[in-house]
Amino acid sequence: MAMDGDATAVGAQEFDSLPTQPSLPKKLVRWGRKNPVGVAGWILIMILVAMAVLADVASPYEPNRLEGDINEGPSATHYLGTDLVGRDIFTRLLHGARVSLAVGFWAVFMGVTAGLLLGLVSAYVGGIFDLLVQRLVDANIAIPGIVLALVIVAVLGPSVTNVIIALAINYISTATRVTRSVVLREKERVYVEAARSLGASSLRIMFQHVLPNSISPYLVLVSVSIGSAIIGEASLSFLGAGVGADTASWGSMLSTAAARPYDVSWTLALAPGLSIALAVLGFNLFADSLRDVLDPRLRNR
Amino acid sequence: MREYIAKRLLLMVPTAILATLIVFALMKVAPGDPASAILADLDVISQEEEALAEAEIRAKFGLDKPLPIQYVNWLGSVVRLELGESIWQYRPVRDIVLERLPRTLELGGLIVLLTALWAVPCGILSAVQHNKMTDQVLRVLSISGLSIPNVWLGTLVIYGLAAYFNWIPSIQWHGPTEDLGKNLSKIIFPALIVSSSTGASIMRMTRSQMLEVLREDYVRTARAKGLGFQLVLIRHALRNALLPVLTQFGGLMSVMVTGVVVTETIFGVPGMGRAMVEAIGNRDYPIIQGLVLLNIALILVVNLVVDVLYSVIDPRIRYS
Repeated sequence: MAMDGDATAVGAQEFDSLPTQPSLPKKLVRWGRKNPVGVAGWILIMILVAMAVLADVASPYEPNRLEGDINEGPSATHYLGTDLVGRDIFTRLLHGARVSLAVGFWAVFMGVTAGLLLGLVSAYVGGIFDLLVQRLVDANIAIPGIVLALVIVAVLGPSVTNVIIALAINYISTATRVTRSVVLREKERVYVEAARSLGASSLRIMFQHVLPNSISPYLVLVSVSIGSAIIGEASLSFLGAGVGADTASWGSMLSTAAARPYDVSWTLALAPGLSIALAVLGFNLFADSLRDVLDPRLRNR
Repeated sequence: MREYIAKRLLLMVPTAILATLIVFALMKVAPGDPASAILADLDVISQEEEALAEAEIRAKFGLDKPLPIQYVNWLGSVVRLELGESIWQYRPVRDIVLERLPRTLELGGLIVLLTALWAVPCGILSAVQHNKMTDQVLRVLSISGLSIPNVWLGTLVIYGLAAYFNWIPSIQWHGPTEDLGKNLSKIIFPALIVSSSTGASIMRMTRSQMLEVLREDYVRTARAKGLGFQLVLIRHALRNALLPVLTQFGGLMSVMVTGVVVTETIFGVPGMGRAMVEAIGNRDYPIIQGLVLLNIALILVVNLVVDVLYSVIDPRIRYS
């Protein structure tokens, strides 16, 4: 491309002085230094993960066995007391972290991933297919999430897997819309035209070129949605349409406290709710900071 | 404009039909049907009698017909404004809606009012005081509001009221015209709780919009020509910043109908959300379908109203 020596030298110099895009790990380190709030969120998430992983080792008792008198207050034998039937609250709290984390992560991961693929294909293929997908997304968004989830759990029956499915469906439509709009913009870019003129197939352009450029909104959507999925699980379990009576869940623990406020120990009204709030706060703080790095345009969502 | 509204209204029909089809299909895959659910309580009758009774109930509600015909029958009753007939309550779903909707609308209205009263001013204050102490405190409050689930706040309030005041909201429902005091004592707590989370998101939106608008050239120009800060804030900035906030309020209003499921359940408000949970438990399909349809219709209409309000507030926006 060089026509004469001088012009090339000047061009190269200008190019060198331009700030280069730093790599993702470097970005993350820089982000950590600049965002103590995001790091705080990360620490809360790690505490949640530790609770879930160590639930079996760290629990003093079995989550579903009657281990003492009913409605005991906190003591040295039962750190957070016992519930309405005499199960150890601390043990159930640790096991509840498993449910929250599993449901929060898998529901969002499955829903947003499905939405990413659907949005990608929908925007790329266009035509009747795109129109059909858009109408389906509209219809899905018009049904309130908690209602759809309640109906799905009623249909499939209460279990952890079914709660994940019920909540995942709610994330598909938003992810489809966001991805579609990003892909519609991306596919008009010059690099797509270049790839096509080199003979790349539609499939290759879609997955090798367009997809990697649509990944930032994907990560942002995943991180901002996990908190709401954790609240979703707690709400479903609270309403009795959650993970089932045999599985310890923060939501169902709270529902006992709300139904029998005169009987239960104060720890049952406080501990599970505080756990949910801190877990959700962790994901929200982390997502908030991550979003500034990955996609400043989505900041207002 | 009129053409635009007509076009939007027409587009709603396929969306609503698709959404009700989704719910209809889901209800049909569900194991167990209302006939067996009704008879599950009566264990005295023999097997043959039970089978006969089940068939009779199915025939009465048309549950023995092929699925497409069941759906078309239901659509027919929607057109007749009956919304289907409840299997457990032996009356049109319309009557159940007429009984429960005003309660949910009262609760929803109070939530929107409380939210608007605290969240919008706090968002403006936060933007004006950008990065100062007030802003930091308000931001921490708003992210906490987003993180604290309504189930927990509700439980805490119920537990606290019982423990310290030896009082829990009465089971009986009193309408606002019947006994305003008892009515408010039942809905004020759920309204405050829900407005803490809805308000948090409204406040964040108001703040970020305000920050963006305050940086605009026309705000600087208005200040430069000597207008007072408050005047510029209200006349120039607020009007432009509030558009996206309005959209979010539209979203709020539309999820109110069944969106307050959790708080209605905790505080025993016999509204639409509660009706939904009961109907799902009883497999009372017509109620579920009727309420979902109503909700969808409301969401679509509110979205349209918000879009139309847009062009009223901002004359630059024109629909064709």
